[in-house]
Amino acid sequence: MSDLVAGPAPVEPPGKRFNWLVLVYVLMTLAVIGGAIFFVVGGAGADPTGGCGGG
Amino acid sequence: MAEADPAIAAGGSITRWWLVATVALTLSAICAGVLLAPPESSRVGPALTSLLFLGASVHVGSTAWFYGVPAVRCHMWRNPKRYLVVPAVLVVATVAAVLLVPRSWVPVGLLAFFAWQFFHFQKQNLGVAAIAARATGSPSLVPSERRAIVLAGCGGTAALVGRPELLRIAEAPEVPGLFAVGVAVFAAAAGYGVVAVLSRTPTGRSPAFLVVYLTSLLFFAPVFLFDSPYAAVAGITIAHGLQYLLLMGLLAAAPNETGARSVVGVLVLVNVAVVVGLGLSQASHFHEAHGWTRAFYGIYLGLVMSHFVIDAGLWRLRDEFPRAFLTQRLPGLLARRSTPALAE
Repeated sequence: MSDLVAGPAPVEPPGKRFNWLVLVYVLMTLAVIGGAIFFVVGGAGADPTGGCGGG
Repeated sequence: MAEADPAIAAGGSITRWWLVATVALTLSAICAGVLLAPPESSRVGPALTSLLFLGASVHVGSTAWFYGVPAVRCHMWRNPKRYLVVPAVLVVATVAAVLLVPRSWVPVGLLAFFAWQFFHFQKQNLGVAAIAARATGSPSLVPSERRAIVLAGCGGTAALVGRPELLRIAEAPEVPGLFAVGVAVFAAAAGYGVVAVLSRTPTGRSPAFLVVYLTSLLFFAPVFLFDSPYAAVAGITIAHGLQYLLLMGLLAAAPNETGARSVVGVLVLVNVAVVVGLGLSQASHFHEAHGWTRAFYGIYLGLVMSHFVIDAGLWRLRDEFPRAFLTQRLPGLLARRSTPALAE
């Protein structure tokens, strides 16, 4: 009954809804990158070919 | 340079951006390897360590992203030998080798591994030059131009195998004269390639294509110019990886088969590449391990070789699926176009 008086609910403009999934992925990516930097830079270094297989 | 070339203009900003970024990343990576190379007997610094992680392990790890793309996965199931069987065999065989083979044989095995790795580098450079020809509307690479790039890579690879200290392989056998052979082959191939590409008509050799071709042809030059392993090798390792990650990033960011584009696709690529790359990087440190944990080192070597095999299939533009998939995702780079002069 109140809808007939007040009218239909306003339509949300397109593109305005915040994409929480993207935020989760961004935060996850930052955590992964941070963890990688911690392990790699704090580790045993690298040989010129990128691994540590030079013996 | 790019604005004067109508073919580059037709490809749009992505063509210009890719051409500039490819050359800039290649040259700056090589310079970084030279400038950040530590003095002998000093530890490599965090900046170069990070760049090597990105250019080596992360780029190899990013190949795993392909297994998550439905169209590519379908293609892999239809071609199980290259994409499933051979990688599995490589990993199992390499694990068996590192666990069972006498340690004195390991340096020889590593030389063979690195020879394949550097040949793989040059095959990518050949692919980059071929893409540059398409993207700039230049005629495809002719056999002499392709041969020159491949031979230059063979020269660089021979030189590295001939000087295993540049690869920091302890107790590797030295092959007398192999470095000199590498010098001769590289120099001859470089000259041959320059003559071949300059014999194109002016409309068939846009400045952008020429720069990319010459960068590919002379890619192994640092190997002959520097005695420091990092100055000679690290830069080209990083450059190879960054070229690959650039293309992978463009693929992940491109609209998929349904036309949908998602930033999440790029983030998935980054996560897969970094996580798998971190695993590879950590596994590579088990080369000195004893007992069963040494198997991780075998897994690392096997997965890197699998990357060589998978890449050789997925980026082969002469084959129907890679051509269709890559052209659909990267039309700005790979859709065939020609300059008005060539079309007449």
